[in-house]
Amino acid sequence: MSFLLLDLVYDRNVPRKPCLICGRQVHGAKGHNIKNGNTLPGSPALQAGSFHRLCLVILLLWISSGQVYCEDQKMSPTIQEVKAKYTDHLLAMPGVVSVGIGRNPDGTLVIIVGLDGPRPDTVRQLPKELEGFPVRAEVTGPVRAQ
Amino acid sequence: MGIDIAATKNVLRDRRPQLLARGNVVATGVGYKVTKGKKTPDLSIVCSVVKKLPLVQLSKKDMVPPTMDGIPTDVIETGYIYALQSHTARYRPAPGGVSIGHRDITAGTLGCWVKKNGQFFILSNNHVLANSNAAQIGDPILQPGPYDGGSLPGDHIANLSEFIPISFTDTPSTCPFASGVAGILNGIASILGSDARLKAVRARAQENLVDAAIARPLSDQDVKNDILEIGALNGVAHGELGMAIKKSGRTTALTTGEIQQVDVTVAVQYGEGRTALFTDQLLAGAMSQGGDSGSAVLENSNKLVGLLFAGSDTTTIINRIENVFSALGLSL
Repeated sequence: MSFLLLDLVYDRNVPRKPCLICGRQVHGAKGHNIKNGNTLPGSPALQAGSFHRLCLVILLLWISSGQVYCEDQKMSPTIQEVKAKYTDHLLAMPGVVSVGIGRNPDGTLVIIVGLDGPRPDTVRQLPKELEGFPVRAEVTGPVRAQ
Repeated sequence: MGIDIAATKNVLRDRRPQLLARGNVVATGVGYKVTKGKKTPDLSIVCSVVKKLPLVQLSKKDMVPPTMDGIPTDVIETGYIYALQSHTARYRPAPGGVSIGHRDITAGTLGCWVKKNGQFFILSNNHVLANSNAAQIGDPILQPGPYDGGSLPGDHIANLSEFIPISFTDTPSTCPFASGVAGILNGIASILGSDARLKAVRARAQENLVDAAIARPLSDQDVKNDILEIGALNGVAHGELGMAIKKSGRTTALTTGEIQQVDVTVAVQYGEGRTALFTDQLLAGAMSQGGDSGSAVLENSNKLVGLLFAGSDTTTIINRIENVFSALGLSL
């Protein structure tokens, strides 16, 4: 975030490209400033004309919302990531032949652990959930090449 | 009402050749007319068609008239009608869904015909066409497979062209030298008072994505580019959770199922104590048995989604077709 701000405010050497919102060819935020000849003191980015200032505010909000979204994702991994993280551990348990992603009857995603037969000890040791995703055991029998 | 069945049959007997000559009609019979989804008490001449089309798309000679000699007609859509066909017989040209195998195996299934560099190849599993890594490139492939009576030279249909080697998981080392070295080092460690011990094992094998191989036919005249009991392929699709699927295989013929799990990591037994770990697999309910390996797995609109290769009493394990095609550089 701070890197992007610095880039917008100070980097005059970025190549000319269309403003994301107004479409004119500009050198980042500095380009708006020069074009409008506005000489208000303070950060160059804030000296732009009112329309371009609005462009900049929208752009900053867009960037920061993207940043928040990314952090959200970091905090709650996907079921694929969680499954990948624990697969080796689950496959090492006695009788486990498969680990996959399926759905419960209510439609929620679930990590399904396949067993080669009834394995009460393994079922007892299985976590009920992993990082918020439910885990379910199913007896599939041994899986063979056909 | 008022139309009797004998009169209807007589009309049908006289008119049947004309009806069956129409492009789309595959069967004719006598039945009650169905109007707006409801059975009416009126007898009619029922024409089964491959596909119901709006009248504007039909040429005049292919239209079924609304009545024939005073008897109403009815048109229903049935698709093509196939005879129940043997999957273990010898076929030339050979379609997908029939028995095939390397000369040293029992039998598997010819999945479908695929293309590489503009040429046709047979797609099936490594363990069907390449005997689980044991075959040599160029080895003969038989249709039907040896278990179904296929033999050389009469049933030689293709030669093994390429296979993706299966990487089997680690087993206790059988190397006496490695065990000896480990023993000596463990002896030194115990003298020095260390609790750590070494054990000789084979390096952990890679995870596999596919059990796949291709074979080049001896003659392109042996290519029948569709699948027994299914028909022609209609492209490829990405297998999704809950997708309805079907396959046509050597042992259990045409069966249907549903993708119940995706992103599956599974340990598969290959006999003789060998196990291989596969990732990014699709899992469906029971829809296959031994001999169905290599079957092409399709979704409802005949788009190819996978290559069947393993299963248990309650599951079927399927390679994603994207992984098969990219591993071997294939297209349809």
